[in-house]
Amino acid sequence: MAAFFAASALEKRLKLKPDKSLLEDAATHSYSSLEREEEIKMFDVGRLCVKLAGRDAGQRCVVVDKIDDRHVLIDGMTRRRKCNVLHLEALDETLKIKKGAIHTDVKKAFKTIGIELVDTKPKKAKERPKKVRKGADKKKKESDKPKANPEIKEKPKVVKKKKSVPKKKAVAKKPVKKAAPKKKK
Amino acid sequence: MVSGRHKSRSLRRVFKKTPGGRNVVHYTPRKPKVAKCADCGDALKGVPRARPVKMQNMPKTHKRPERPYGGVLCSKCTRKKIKAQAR
Repeated sequence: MAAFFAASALEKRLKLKPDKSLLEDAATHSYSSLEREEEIKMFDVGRLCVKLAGRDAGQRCVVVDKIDDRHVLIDGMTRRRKCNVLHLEALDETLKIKKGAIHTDVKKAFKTIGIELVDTKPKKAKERPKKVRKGADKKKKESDKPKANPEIKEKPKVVKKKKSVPKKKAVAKKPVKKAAPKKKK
Repeated sequence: MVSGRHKSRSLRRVFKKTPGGRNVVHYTPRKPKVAKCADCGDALKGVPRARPVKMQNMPKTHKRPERPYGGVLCSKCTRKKIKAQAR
């Protein structure tokens, strides 16, 4: 450890730059445009590759089309999608495929090598139960009131019978006699 | 007085405030260390630091990345291995 620190201190004094080729990895290497052109020349239509990254890593695929100076359309044991050239490892073998071939044509081409492709159906996300907040009941509108429970039977309406009241006969009113005025003496 | 079983440094001391306003010490177990790559020793991503009880109740996809050697090797080491197998 002491030697490591001494070396870096020496380098600082002499203003030496560290050798990049020793430190750089393929993952940290920054590609220039010229390097990218050379890199993508390997990946012609029909070139067999192995995928290095993602959940399809370790599976073989075929270059179907060139999209960009960095990206390429692949198909085969992997999903049919675009892929960065840095995430592929080219092999010596090639397949006879047209540019932009369909999945069925790619399947036939793989059979010539001896690899059978298995088609998997895309998974549909299951419907999850919706979370209901505690205060959501209070904010319900009148129209959203719960409907009557069909199990509970409606009670029959009791109609009270009114007692029959005899109608009053029309009686003529008697004339009211007025008292005679008192005579003054 | 602190009871003897709480003196162990493998327990974490957490100060909590009660509804009554008192400050009280809770002795909680520590989390396990970060998982490391089997080849290079770098810290692995996508592997949670949780006690065994919580790990058992987690779904399988929450405990490791969906990749060959996920949870065992880091992404750089898997690429090196796949390249070596292909060549």
